[in-house]
Amino acid sequence: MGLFTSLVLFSPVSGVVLKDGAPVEEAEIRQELRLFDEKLPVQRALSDSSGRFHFAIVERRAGLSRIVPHEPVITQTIIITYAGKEYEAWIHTKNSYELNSELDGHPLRLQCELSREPDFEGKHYGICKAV
Amino acid sequence: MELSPADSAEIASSAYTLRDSTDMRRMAAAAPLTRHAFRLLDATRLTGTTGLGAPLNRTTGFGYVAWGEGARQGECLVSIRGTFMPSACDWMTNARLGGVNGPSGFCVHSGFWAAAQTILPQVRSALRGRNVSTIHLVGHSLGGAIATLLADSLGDTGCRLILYTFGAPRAGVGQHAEYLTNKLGTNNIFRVYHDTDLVPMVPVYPYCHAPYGSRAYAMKGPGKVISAAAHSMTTYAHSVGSLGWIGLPIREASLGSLEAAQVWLAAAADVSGPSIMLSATALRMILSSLDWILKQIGHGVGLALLGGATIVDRLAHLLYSGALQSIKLAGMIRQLMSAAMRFMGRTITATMNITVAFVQYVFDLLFRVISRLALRAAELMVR
Repeated sequence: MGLFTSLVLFSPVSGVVLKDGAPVEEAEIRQELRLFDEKLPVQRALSDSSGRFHFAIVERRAGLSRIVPHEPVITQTIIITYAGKEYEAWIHTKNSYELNSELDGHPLRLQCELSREPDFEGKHYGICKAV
Repeated sequence: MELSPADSAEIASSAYTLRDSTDMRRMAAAAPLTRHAFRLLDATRLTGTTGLGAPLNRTTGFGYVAWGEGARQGECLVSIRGTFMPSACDWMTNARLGGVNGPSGFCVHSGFWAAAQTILPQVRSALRGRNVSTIHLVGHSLGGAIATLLADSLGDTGCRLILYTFGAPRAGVGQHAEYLTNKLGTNNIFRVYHDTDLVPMVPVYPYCHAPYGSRAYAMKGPGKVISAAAHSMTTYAHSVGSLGWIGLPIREASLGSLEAAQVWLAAAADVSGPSIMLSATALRMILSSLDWILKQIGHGVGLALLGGATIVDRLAHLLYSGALQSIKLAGMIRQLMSAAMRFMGRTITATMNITVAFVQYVFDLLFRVISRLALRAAELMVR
């Protein structure tokens, strides 16, 4: 831990968009992120022919934040848009700068079923489930 | 029935999610154990105003009030987050031990009470017209101090009040802590702290923790020296894990004996002894010894009510007068000065004399170091 380590604001995400169990191509996936009240640039992805999408890790140089510990409040949201309709896919507040802290150390592999009603799973809410 | 340590830890943590968000689903997502017992989606968001005064004041989310269901029907949950605010830096720092008359007429910390007063009307409003049997008040850091003063304020509701704090600073003087402990009952106060967390050690005497003269849950913090990480709610949640209250290590209150204080101070003051620089145990013992010595000299609340920069002057005069009272106290005060200097990585000569100016010098230095360490722990907690 030091000045040059990084703060993980959003761990890498791999996911698949399904509708009634079938892969959905060209769904737009939007990843939104806020660190305290600072809005970070929105990331966008399109699902491929097998419904897959991914987002790279979002991190920030630690600087003094690493040695001046505080209570992180990282607001994470993923929205899927398909056929003109928006789906709340992932709502989570990350309270640690560690990699994969969103799922207690497990990689973010998500299955997002558009026909599913958004619900809670562990410490996140939305239509995406961890797989 | 009380909340479990894991429940109360996630409740304390979940209050942070509402700082900038009004989405209760986001808060409920952070509290998977609690959302089955309390209707978190219907919770009322609490806001608080912090800052240096208008127009620099800022209103942000400070927590929530939620209602129990099922087995917890009729129970209310109040969760308050910690904060960092420029005007409240003083709450942990050197000179500002300023007290005011709190909700029950006892001296409490002015900054904590000011913060609690911005939240109290919202809690009362949420309670209005409800048939409530129990109110659970939960808070981390400053949120713990605010929850303590809310518990004091809500005594007129006639409900059972249960208080849970993590790494909270001391909210009021000894008489206040004693009064609150009697009012709530020892079994209704759950105070958790890490041994390497500085924040629960401040403000110094005459401020005291509730439960007064009773137990607290003392967890092993990361490392042996004062650590800012030891103050994090994430670290607290990890420390309590899934244990029940009965499984957590309990520290019985030690009111301090002359013999224990003497033995420790003699060892800590020994310049040829092992380094105690920034040692958490050393600081705890220095502050405990200071508490003990001030108790012997017989001054308390007056010290808190002074406030402002005069506190160090008053402290120095008190210790000086104590040194004149008895040879034994003079020896302990000399050792206290030596231990405080060694904690800061400095040494003093064995022949030094206790003068008001010298005691002022040492305490000014010590409180500056405590202030710096405390700010490191709390700064940016919530920017």
